[in-house]
Amino acid sequence: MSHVVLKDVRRFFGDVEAVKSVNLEINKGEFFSLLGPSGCGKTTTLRLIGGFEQPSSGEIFICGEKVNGKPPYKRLVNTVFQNYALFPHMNVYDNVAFGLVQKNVPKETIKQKVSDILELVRLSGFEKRRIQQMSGGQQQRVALARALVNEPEVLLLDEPLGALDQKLRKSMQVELKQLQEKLGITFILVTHDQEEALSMSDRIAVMNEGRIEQVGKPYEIYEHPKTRFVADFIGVSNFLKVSVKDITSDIINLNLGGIHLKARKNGVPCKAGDELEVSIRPERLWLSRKPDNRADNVLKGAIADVRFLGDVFHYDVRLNGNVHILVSRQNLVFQEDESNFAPLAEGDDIFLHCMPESLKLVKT
Amino acid sequence: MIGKKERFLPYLYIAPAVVLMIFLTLLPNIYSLYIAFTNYSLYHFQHYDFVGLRNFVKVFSGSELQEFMSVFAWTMVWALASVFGMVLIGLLLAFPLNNRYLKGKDFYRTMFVIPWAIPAFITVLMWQGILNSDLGAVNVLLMGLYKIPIFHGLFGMLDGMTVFFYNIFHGMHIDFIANLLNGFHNFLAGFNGKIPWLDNGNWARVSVLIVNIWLGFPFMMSIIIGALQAIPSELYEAASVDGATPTTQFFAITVPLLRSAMLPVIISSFAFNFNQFGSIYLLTAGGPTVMGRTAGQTDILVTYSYKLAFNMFRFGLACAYAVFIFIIIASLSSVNFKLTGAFDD
Repeated sequence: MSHVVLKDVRRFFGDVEAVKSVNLEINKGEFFSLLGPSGCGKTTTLRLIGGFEQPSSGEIFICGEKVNGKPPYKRLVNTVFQNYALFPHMNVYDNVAFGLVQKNVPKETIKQKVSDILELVRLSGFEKRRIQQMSGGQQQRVALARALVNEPEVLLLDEPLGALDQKLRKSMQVELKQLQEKLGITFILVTHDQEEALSMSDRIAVMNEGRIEQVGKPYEIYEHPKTRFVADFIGVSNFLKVSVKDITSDIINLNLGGIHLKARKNGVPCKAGDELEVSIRPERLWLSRKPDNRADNVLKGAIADVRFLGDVFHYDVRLNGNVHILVSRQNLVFQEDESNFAPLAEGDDIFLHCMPESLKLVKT
Repeated sequence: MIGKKERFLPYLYIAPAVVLMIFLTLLPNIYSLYIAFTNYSLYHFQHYDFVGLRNFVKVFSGSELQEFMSVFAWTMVWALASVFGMVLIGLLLAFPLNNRYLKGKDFYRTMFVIPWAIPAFITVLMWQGILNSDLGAVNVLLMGLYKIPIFHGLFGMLDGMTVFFYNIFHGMHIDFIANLLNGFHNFLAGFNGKIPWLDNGNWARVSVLIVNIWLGFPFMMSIIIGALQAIPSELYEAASVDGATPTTQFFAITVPLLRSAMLPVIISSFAFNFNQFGSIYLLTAGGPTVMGRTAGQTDILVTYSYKLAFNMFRFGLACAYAVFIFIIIASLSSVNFKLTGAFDD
C-alpha cells in the first residue's frame, strides 16, 4: 500500500486550473520530489497534501486514510515552509516545542523530545537563542526540528533550501538526505532546482502547467525523458526536427535534412513518414577533426562559438541548414588523444558522432 | 587629486537644508533656551536680565507649583487616554477591515480615514460647533430624544438605580464610590438632554479627548492594519499544522507580533499627544477657566506655556516650561530610539 496517494486530484482557483488531474503514489520511506518551473502547480499539490488547500475534485489518501476535508493538524504530516515560518518572537526552544505544547504533552516529555531533536539537527545548546540571531542554515535546521519533533509520517518541504547560498545549499542537501535515511519517514520535496531533485530524490515527478509529465527515478528521468518538456527542463538537450524513414526491429532510421541518423526505439510511438523531434544531450556527442567511421551517426559541422567553463568546454556547432547543436566536452587530456588536443576554435570544421541510444524520440 | 572646487561643492549642496535648519530650528530653540534663564516679561520688556535658574525654581515652588502639578497631571492623563482610545478604536476597526472576506473594504477604509484626511483645524472648529451646549447638533439631538417618553423613562430608571446603589455604598461607608454616584445622580436629576460639553470642566475634558481620539484613530487603524498584514500567513499555517486553534494563534502570534510592531508607534504617539496643541487650543482654548488660576481645566503643558507667553507675557517662565517639555519628550524619544534601534546601523 502506498503511503501517500493522489487520485485524479484537481484544484481550481477561480477559472484557473492550477492542478490538473494529478495521480501519484508515493511509497513509505521514500524521498519524493515534485520538480517543475514556477507556476507549474507543484506547491499547490504539496499544499493539497498538507491540508492548506482542499482539492476541487479527486481524493487524497495518507497512510491509507482519506484526508479530504481534514485540517492540517489532523493529518499525519508536517511541513517545512519556504521561508521557514519560524515565530520571530520566540526562541529556538519555544519554536520547536510549539506543536507539543498545543497537544498538551507533559513538560518533561517536551524537554526531552526537544533536546533529542535539536541534537539530531546539530543545534544542541542553541535552545535560548532568538531566531534573528541564527544564520540561514541554522534557521533551516530549526524549521526542520520544529516539524520533526511532532513525529510526522510524512514531511512536506516547500523549497526548503531556496533561501540559502550555493555552498550551504549543497551541504544541506547532503544533510537532509542523511536525515531522511536515518529517520525513514517519507519526505515530499518541492523544488525548481533540478540538481537538488536529482541528487536527493528516490523518485521525481516532473510537473508542467498543472500536470505531471513524468514520474521516475532520477536516472530514468534524465536518461529516458518521455516528453520534450522533461528533456528540456532536466539538464540540457538539443532538439532536432527529423522525419522517420523506416523502422527495423529495434532501430529507427531518421532523416535530418538529408543526413541519415539511427536511433534506438524507446517506446515513443512512431511510423514511417512521421515528422518528429529527437533530443540529444550535449555530453553524448563526441567531436573530432576527422570522421570516426566506427560511429553509427556522423554529422558534419563547424564550430560557431566556444565557451570555456573550467571543467568543461561548451561548443556551439552549426550543422547544414543552420541547425545549431550544443556539445560539451570534459576538459580532459589523454596521451593517445594528441590530435584532438589542439584546442578547437571558432570556425573549425568538425565532425560530431553519437550512439543510436543517445538519440531519444520525444513526445511534443 | 581633488580640486578646491570639488571640495567645496558638497557643502554647497547641503547648504540650503543647513541654512533652513539653523534659522528655523536651531536658533529659535537656542533663543528660547536663553530666554528661560532671563526675566523677560511684560515688566521687563526692553531691559531684561539673566536670572539663572529662577524661572525653573518658580515652576516648582509656591502657587506656581500648584498650577504646574494640576496641568502636568492632566497632561499625562490626556496623553495616555488619547493613545489608549486611539489604539483601542484602531484595533476594533483594524481586525474586521483586515478580514479578506469583508466586502466593501475599500469603502469603509476610505470613510474611516476621513478624520485624518481633512485638516484638523477645520474639523476641530466644526466639533466646537457640534458640541455647543445650546445650538450644537449633539445636544439638539439629545434634547429631542429626551422629549420622547421612552428615553425620559429610561433616564428616570437610571437615576433610580443610581440612587439605589448610592444608598448601598453610602450605608457601607465606601465614600469614594458613593460620592461618584452622588455626582452622577445630581447630573441625572438635572438632566434635560443638555450636556455642558465645553462649559463644564469635566465634560470639557471628555470632549477634548473625544475629538482628539476621533482625529487620531485613523492613523492607528492604518498602522495596525499594516502591522497585521506584515505578519506572514505562513506563520499561521505553521501554527495550524501544529494544531493551534484560532484563539491560540491569536495570542501566540498576532498579539506578540502586533505588540512589537506597535510599541514604537505608541510611544511616539504619546509624545505627539503630549504636545497636541491644536485639539485643545481650538476647541476649548484650555478652558473653562478656574477662578484665580492661569491654567484652565483642559490646559496641557504646551497650551499653558502658550498662555503664559502670549496672554500673560511671562516669556521667561513660558520658556522654562518649554525646556521642561523638551526634557520629557526627549527622554521619551530616546527610549523609543533604543527600543526600535533607529540609531543602530
